[in-house]
Amino acid sequence: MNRKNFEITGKIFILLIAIFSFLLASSIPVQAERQKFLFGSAIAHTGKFARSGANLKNAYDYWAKRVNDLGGIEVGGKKYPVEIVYYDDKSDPKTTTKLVEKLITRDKVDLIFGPFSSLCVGPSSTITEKYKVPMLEAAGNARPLFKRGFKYLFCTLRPADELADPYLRLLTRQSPKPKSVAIIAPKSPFYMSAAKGFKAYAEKYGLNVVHYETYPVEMQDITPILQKVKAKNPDILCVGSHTVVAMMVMKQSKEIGFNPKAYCFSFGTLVPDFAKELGKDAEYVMEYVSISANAPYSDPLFGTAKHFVTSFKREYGISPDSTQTAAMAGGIAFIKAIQRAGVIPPLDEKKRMKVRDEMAKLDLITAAGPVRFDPTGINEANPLGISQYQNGKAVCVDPSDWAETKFVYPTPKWKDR
Amino acid sequence: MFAQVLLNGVLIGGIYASVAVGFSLIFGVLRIVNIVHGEFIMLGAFITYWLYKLMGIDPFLSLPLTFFCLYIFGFLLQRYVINKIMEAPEIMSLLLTFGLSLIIANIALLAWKGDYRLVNPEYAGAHLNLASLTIPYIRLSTFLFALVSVAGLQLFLQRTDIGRAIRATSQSKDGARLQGVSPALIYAITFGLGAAVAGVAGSLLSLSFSVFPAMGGDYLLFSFFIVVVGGMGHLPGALAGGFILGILQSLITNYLSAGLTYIIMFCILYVMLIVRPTGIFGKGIVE
Repeated sequence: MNRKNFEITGKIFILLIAIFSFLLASSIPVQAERQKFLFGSAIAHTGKFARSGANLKNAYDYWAKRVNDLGGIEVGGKKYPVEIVYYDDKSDPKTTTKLVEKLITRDKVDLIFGPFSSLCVGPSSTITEKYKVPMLEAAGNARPLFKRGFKYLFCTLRPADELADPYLRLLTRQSPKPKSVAIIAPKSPFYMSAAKGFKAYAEKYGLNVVHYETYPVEMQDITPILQKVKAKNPDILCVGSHTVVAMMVMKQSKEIGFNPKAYCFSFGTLVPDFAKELGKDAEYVMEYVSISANAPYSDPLFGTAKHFVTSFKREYGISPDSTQTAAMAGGIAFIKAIQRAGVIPPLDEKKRMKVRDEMAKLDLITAAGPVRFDPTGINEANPLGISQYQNGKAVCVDPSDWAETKFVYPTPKWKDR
Repeated sequence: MFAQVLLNGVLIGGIYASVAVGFSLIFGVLRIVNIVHGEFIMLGAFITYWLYKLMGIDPFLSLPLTFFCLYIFGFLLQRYVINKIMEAPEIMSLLLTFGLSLIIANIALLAWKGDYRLVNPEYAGAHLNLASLTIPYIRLSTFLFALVSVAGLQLFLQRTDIGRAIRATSQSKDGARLQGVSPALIYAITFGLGAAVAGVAGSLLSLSFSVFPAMGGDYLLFSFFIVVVGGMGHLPGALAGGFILGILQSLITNYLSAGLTYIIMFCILYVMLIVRPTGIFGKGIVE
């Protein structure tokens, strides 16, 4: 390289450093002037949880819009608006972890809304724990996450291994009473936790577990497993699931002519894609819900449960599923904890610790259901009901005071749908 | 039950064979390990999905269009991108096709999001009960179509002038050139054919499995297994490899545990590479 080239290269290099430094400096938020609460969420916009992540993000946005429409969170007589900073974690737990650290250290968010799935909540919550930032999450309820003694992790869902109760309680009240159950699940924290719960509750309700199997999460062709299950002729099929698993189980069950008296999925059937892609093959599928328009709850932010469900439906075209309901309840829990702690933005470590302590003490009713965290940080008061697809729509069928219509049992034959 | 297990394995094995045959062909002629193969499968599946969803075109009727689109795409990709590094060390083709696969998969992710989609025609659940056997029509049809596409490719290579030119180039690039064959053109045609067959396999897979931008990865893995077992570059070997994989998966899932499938698969792959790198028929290419 001659001297002239060397000089030009040097100048370009210095210019690039100057531009980079300017961009860096101008992008650092000025903390002292912030008059709003800043929330952060690294959540799936793409990847295998894209659809469920988008649904959860809708719920966070809906909460933020509602809060801002009312002027913001009131602390000490003054209202502070809220803003949520989002990043796409690409459904990858490692990316979630990096982005949550970025939200805390670079964006200086006050509090964190959790990602989608136990898989992403698990590792990213180690970061929020390290920096003492409360994380409120509504989509990661695998039991092992709450056995780690974390203090800053709060989940507004019930633990995954307790979700089986409403399905099997409802089914064992039917006539003729089902006798046997088969349980399958991919090997991933949430699915397996849900499957263990199905097994424990099946035994509690006197059902015979004729098949229990977990399989690699990458496995797309589950026909061989369903063939084994079909050969044992169970009355009920319980699946630890997200949307994709549920879709494949229904499609492949039909292919091999397997039709148990009831299909129970732990999650994933209430996203619009499920019914859209499967059409009438989605009929009679059951999934738990934690709200119904008929539920007797209300709060100042959303009004009654009926108002909450109908206005959400008007905005997004679907009734809120369990994670969306939990996100809404969690948002209200954050507001209450902030108000009781009496802290204003920006929140430093001391203020965040105060919010955390108030979160742990909460016992409140929201339009999206009650919130009361047990010592491990999970919502022990989260109510559970059951929805079932009927005529292309998921409708609440249990408990009776929530029910919008009657439960259909047993499932009609494939050809009669 | 055993007959049912075996039948499941055979039906899925046929589709696996069609998944891998294009991969084997491209390696046999161009001597490159084509990592974009999985994305060809994904694109084929999406073509079928969109034609079905937007225009109501039956998935089986979309096969010719998938073949045509992927052929053109593969041809152009080889001619204007991959051809640039044909003389470079093999690691370059590996890196380039890996990069291309990331680009294609991420463009697909941007365009179609990460949603998992289904091709679920009215007849999807129809099945035939034969004695104690259940034969899903969809699986049977995709199996037959997969076999037709593999046989068609083999016939094309055996019976047509272009096929002979492809085989000649595979055996000796310089020898073929002396006979007036342009290796650069043959490479592009071969790559196009490999892409087209992979695309058709993707279309067939979309009838039984979910369609999403990252779906190619698993099928690329299966293709590796199949061509190593059947012999790299040996097309009848890919057929045998496909059946072996299908039956193996079915047997392991039924009689051992589904969790062991990948472990056993990779143990076999490892052993084959050490003990018999030319595949079960001993006709694969080893360099």
